[in-house]
Amino acid sequence: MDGEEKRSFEQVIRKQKGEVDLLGVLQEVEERYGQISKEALSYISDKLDVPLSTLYHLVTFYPCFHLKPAEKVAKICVGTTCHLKGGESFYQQLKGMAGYRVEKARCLGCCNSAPAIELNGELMSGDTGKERIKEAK
Amino acid sequence: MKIRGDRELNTIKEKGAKLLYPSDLKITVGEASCGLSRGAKAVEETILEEVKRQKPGIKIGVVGCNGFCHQEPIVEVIAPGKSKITYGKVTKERVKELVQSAIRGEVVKDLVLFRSDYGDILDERISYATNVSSLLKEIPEYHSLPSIKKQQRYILRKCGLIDPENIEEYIAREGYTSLLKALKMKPREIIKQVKDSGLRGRGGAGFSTGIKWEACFSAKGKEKYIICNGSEGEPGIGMHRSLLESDPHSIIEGIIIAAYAIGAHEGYFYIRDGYPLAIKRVKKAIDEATALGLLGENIANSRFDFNLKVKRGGGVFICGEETSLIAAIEGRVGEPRQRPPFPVEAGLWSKPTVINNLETLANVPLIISQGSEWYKKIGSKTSKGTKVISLTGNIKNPGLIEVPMGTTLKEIIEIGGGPVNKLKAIQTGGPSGGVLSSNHLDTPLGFDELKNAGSLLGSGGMVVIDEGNCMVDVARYFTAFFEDESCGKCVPCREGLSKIREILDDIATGKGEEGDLEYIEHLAYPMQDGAACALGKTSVNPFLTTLKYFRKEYETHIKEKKCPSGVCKEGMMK
Repeated sequence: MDGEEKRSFEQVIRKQKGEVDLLGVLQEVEERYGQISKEALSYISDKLDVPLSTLYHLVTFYPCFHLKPAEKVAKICVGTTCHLKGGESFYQQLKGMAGYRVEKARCLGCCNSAPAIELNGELMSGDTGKERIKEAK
Repeated sequence: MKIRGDRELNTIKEKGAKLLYPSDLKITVGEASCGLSRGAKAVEETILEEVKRQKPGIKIGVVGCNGFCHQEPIVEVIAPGKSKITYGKVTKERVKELVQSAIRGEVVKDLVLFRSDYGDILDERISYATNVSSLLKEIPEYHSLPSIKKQQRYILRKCGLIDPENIEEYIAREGYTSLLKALKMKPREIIKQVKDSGLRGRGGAGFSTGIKWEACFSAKGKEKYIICNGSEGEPGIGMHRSLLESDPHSIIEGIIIAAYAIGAHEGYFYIRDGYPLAIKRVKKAIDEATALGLLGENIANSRFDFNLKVKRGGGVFICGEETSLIAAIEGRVGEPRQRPPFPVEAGLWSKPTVINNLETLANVPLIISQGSEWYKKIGSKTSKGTKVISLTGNIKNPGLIEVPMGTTLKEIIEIGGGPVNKLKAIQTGGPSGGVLSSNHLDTPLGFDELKNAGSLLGSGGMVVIDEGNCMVDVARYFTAFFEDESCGKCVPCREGLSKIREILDDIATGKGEEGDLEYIEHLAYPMQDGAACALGKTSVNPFLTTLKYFRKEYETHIKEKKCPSGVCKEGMMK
């Protein structure tokens, strides 16, 4: 981890006043870097005096954390409506797609676009998603 | 400016009214997730370009979801003295024409959904149009639409009308008047009003909100907390997301009133991960309310202090359970713990805490402004008020509706335009709820009514299942969902679910054997009593209710190796 990164971690930690909001710290790291690296975990553990095992428990329990980085993310909704409209087979089609972290999402909250997909943070229907992926190739 | 009383509030109200109903033409775009997933952002950008080219000066506004999710992207044209025109399924390509006709006072006929001659603030009307031209008379009026006639939109009344990121527009539609009224009341009076109103928790359990508040109010200790549960994690339910994205202030107003009533000076607005837009809009709303002195120290000059923080969830379903939610806020792994003690006695940081669902809290300003007598008149005998329903699945017009409790399931399906194919079952209450067969369509909406029928009201999701769907597949889907979401703390839930799912997998892939059903039933019933929390206890509902009403379908899978609806293919006879 370079000096700049360390400084920004310290900022994240310092922003927390009073009792430390552990999840909040981890979420901010995840948001900035798209992952929580091993280095980041041991650094936070040192700085906040929290056992590494506790941090590891948290980041593996909550699916919002990732231990590996990903440049492109495709979240495929497998909520009830999307399931009824073929979300699962849509997921199977995209699973393992090169260059993407393909995740299942429980409900993206836009059942009108079922089966829905969130492509790099943008919500769309499955058909539009497929077109976008094709174009990007 | 800080709001110190009615005078300042009225000043902002006037400002907001000018934004809502400007003296010039205004075009709005619905930008909640349902709209955005259909390209609303691109439509807005094209409108901006077109307006710049054709007639700069036309106001462009962003609003939330008006409930017609199946018609997104939705664009509305508001012209002074004229009916408001609502367009559906607007594409970038049609924007030029739409802006042109808006300027000319014309209508793009093939895109128009309806006109609105007036808007309503509760029972009061705001007239848009003084007289309706013959051209517009051909277009149906909003209030005469069959799907709207059967609804009573109180909680959703501002959704799709106001800019969710503008507090002035919220205040223009009577926003924060209830808070100012409540701050002049004694906490005990507020609790009595809420108790008398019969309001029950909208998160699923249906516990009396007033009694919960009273218990926390009477609990010992100076430090108390209020938590708004916005952890909607159930698959297929988008209504809370929509409310958060379309009208965050109505929830925040309810939170402040609740905090004042129970004596909390600190609160948390817990929103599930994966709702980035909702989080952004709630944060913005909190900042705006703080800037106006409606949050923070000495709220509206009442000497009451209250701070509200947003907490983002970690993406697990179990955190909707209140003790898990508390654990998450405290920075721990979200595992539930035994109750009692209940959070009203020992909740967050072991201090008395009220946890209310966001929809429950959105009901509070309504009760304060209209009174419990008014509120009590809406709904059924034991379930009062209205319920926001997310109507999805194989239904013609999926969307967000609000009906009084007591409305029958049949009427609700009719509002959504009916099922796509022949109706087979209706799934209520999210995964923890259950499946009801088409013989139950006369069941009225309500906590006890649906429970008696064998399902749950839950938080109000309704999924229409038709002949094209297989019940074994539905049960397998929900069981797999729970298996995945089980926190693994207690044995019945952890082991029971994986075993049930394995056998359901077998049945769905032609490997089912006689006796399988009896075996998993034998596993499932003890889980209803033995699991540690509500997630585990209710996790077998989808399986047990589908089995209760569709046993034959299961048996066909096992004995004939056939899936009647053709969904299960692997290992099945054709």
